[in-house]
Amino acid sequence: MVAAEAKPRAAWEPALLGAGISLRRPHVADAILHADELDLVEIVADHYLGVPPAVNAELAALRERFTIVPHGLDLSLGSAEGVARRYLQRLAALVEVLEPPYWSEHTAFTHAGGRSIGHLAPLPFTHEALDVLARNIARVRDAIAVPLILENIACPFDVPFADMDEAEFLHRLVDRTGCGLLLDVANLYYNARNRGLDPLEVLQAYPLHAVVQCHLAGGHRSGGEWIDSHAFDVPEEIWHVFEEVARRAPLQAAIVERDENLPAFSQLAEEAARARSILRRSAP
Amino acid sequence: MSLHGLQCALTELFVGAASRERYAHDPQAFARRFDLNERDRAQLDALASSAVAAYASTLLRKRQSEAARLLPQTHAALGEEFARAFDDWAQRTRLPDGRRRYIADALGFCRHLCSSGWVSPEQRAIAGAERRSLRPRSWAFFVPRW
Repeated sequence: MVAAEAKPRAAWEPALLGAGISLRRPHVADAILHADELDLVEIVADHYLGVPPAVNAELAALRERFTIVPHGLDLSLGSAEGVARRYLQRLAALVEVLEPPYWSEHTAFTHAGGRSIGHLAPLPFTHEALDVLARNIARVRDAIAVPLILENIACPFDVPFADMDEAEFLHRLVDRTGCGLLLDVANLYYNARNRGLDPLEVLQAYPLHAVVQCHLAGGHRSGGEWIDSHAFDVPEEIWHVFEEVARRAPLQAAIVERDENLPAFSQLAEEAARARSILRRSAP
Repeated sequence: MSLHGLQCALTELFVGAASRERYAHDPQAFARRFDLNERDRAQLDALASSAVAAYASTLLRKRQSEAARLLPQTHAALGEEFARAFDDWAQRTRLPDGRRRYIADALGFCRHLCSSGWVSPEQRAIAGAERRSLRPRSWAFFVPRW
């Protein structure tokens, strides 16, 4: 049963925030020193939970310079057993202090039966999973009024016996909840390639009217599979898909992600500058 | 509640090598442990064990990567042995729950190293020192990077 379903919000208005990076610790000082090279930063919300934001000097220094978009990892919006109350309270406190234009989480589950997977696990594309997401999002919205956008994850496999494909699942999800989408272009690209599909054809079926932000990253090939490792520069193929998204979606921002093989800050800032250029060129 | 049962079953398969072995040996018996309806059991049956194993392997690599990042000196001291030793140990242990799970995981691996006979006295000393320094370290910036 779906309880207290989320209310759809109005369509996303184009309001260009610009381009930035998903900030990792080694780049915090450079980001502060070269703040003019980024329009915004994304932080991993989990890195700051439990640290009282009001007394977190690093966060305060970032807030003085940037729009900060918190990106959650472990809320487990797709968990049939619901979201964890304490985690949600901490997340709500962080979002309240940061006052972002929106915040983001994943269409995934990370916990079940009292156990943590430690990673984002795929949901079956079923009506029941949609019910669960809608119910959990409604509960989250009771705690966090700031708009939520939802990210597609890297899926190494599909859970069998789906009622629909991912694109239809996302269409139904945004129609039902009014959430925007955070389109991880690398996830879309590598998922498509691993299934022998054309990423641009897969993209056509996505609810592009709801895509508010993009993630850009570079992965690698291992054992015949593409891995979204966030370990390399954004490859040309992914820039190409991003350009198509920018032409067709009401994008507000693009964020470059890098977790492994961290390059110099300036290199990430260059990628952010390229994303900014594409966003501006495509803005209505 | 069937999605819940399926998610519990998948979680067991993703994080437990022993569960994957039980599932490979007798999928029906494994499915009976969870509150699964007929469709869920079919979903689980249809899920290729190779896909589950590949995903589990991804999780293991992530654990190893986090441990290497949290234990840079131990990682350097063990060299290539770090990955082998971590994989061997992690196959038999679960990722701890909670927001400090990767720190707890790295500390657990350090404890294991310190009690392992094959580790040299120098490597043991480095692992022990790094374990002591990691334990009280602020956890806030050392949670997973997904």
